[in-house]
Amino acid sequence: MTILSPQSDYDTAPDRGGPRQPMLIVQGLRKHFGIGGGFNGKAAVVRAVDGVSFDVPKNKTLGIVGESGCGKSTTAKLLMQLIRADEGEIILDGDPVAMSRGVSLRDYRRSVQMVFQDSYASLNPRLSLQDTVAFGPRATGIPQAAAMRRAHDMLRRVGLAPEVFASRLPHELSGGQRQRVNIARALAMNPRVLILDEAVSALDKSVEAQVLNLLQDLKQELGLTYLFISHDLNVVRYISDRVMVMYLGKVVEIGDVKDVFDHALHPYTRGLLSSRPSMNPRQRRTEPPLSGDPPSPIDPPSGCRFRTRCSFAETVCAEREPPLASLGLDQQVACHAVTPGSGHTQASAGEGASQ
Amino acid sequence: MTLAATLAAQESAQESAQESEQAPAPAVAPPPLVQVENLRVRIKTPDVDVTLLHGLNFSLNQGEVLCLVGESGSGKSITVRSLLRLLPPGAIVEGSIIVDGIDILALKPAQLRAVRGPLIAIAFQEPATSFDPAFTIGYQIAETVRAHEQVSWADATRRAQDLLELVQVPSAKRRLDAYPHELSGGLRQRAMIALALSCRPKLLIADEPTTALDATVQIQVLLLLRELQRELGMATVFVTHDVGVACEIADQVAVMYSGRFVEMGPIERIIDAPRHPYTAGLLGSVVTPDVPGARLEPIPGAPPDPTALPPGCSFEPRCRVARPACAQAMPAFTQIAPLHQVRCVLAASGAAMGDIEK
Repeated sequence: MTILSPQSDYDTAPDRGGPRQPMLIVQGLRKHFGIGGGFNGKAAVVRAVDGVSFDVPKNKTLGIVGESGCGKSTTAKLLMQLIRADEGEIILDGDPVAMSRGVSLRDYRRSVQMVFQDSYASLNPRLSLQDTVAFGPRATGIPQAAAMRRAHDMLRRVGLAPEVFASRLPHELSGGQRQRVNIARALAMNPRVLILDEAVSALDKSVEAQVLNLLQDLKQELGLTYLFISHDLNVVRYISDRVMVMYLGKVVEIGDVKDVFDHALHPYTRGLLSSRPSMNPRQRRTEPPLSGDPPSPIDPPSGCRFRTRCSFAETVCAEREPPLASLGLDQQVACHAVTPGSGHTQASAGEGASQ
Repeated sequence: MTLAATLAAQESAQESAQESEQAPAPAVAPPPLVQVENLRVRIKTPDVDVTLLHGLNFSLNQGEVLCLVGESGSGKSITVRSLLRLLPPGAIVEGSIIVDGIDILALKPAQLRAVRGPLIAIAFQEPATSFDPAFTIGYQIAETVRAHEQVSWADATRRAQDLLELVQVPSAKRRLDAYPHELSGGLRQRAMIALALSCRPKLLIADEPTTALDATVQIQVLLLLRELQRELGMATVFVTHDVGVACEIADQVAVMYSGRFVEMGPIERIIDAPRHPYTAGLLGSVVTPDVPGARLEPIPGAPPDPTALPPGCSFEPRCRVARPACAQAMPAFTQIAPLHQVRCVLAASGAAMGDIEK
């Protein structure tokens, strides 16, 4: 980390909790958006994120997957504090966020940075790249010269030679280069956590691979922790250590990426995984693994929210909401069919291993 | 599925004729439905003068799916749009495009309107912006039917409902009265396909129709397109940047780079044994489930600016196996096996990709 600015307030915040303390702990995160309720409409709430809990170990990547509208991006914005959660607690390296005796919102935001999907829309078209990257450091009181030096360091680190690129404007870059600038800008604040919300989704495949390699390198060099949101399951498998599957604002399965991808327990996870193209023209898919779209989060189904598209749904699924239960070493799943003692005919009756 | 039945009945005569010809004696194949020769597109306005397509040749038989694969800016969309002459002002199109015996480039505006829909139809990537937000789905489909056929509104609306059922929109009758924004992305794309099919086209163009959809919905729409295409016997030109999607739907694949085909052949051959370094690189950049943690091998650099193409092979600056000769002249599009063409001096010389790479 010698390449980074010598400013002491820009060194990474000290590792307070030790290596075993998760970088982020999220407890019961909830966000409901009110809609309607105007002149003659009936008020309703969109249950965008409805009680989400997870933790992210240090220097690991948590992948978040799910269909559109499942609450992936809302979760990211809540973590970034771009919108306020209705409920829930965020703990950064052992310190609660925005509470007395905890880490202040200002310090938290410096420690957690975000890269968005639309690389063009997230850059100011009238700022040169060096000004863009230096903006954050400048805003937190770093002198101009030091901020510029830092911007150049960061640009070099993401593979954009500052001699060539520092004074260019966003429209002069390709999509992949712009996304590198966004990464440089996020890193300029010297964060500990990087939230990547579909950060490679808009890129061409060959460029996507370049950016994924860059992200892997940066993670190692700077000891970063990633939250990687994507709808591309192969990319998530590639980059993640743990993966969290969301459906209609709930976590349905979370665990080690290998466990979840090789032995998915939730029927939704299995459907999602087998929706990937086969990459083999001789073995084409014949049946769509999941039919239809997710139901509206305004009035989600009772009990298990996935039951309307689930081929194992039984009466118990409509009556009770399945809790997120630990199955296996590091895998939690919210499904009656695999939870012992749930009353589902496929579940074993008492304690013991399922499946 | 009533419409499917009627359409299938209509096509059955043609199909049976085609089958009987195909099965015993492929030597007397029917003339291809689409025949494109030396297609060149140049955009010339006071501000820009750039050639986007540099002479494309391809043909497509009835019932076949050709996938155009390539990255942004490679000319995929320009190619399919020139089939419909949906190009920006200032575009100069040269070469010839014959579809079902009709010379598309020679058509007058009124004739062109008559061809768009019944002969060639297109489903766009973004159904949200392709529908008019101020009219219902049912109205827009029925309107299209009435523009081409002498039918009453009632009949046209009934046909719209049949079409929505054909593309598996649940409760189709109710959706006729839905506005585009009231449908989910997947349903909107199905409605877009229904609109494209409304005049029973012989050639369907699908310009990245599943790119904006979730994986779960993408596979549904791909399977639907494959089924419809088989049922209705349409030829389809399918544009995608996703090799995985091509694997699910293509018969033939044409890989595009900087406004040229660099490799064309049956999908199985291209996937198993790509012969152009770009194709190999593209396949190598696809993140597959088998390689967690391993380092990806992306193609270095970025595609060239179309206004300043390199003098030789346009892939030469990024090519790992480039030879001095590659910078001199653009290699010819050479046939290296039946139906398999490659634009690369190394592949044409007979060496396999594995031998070339050191």
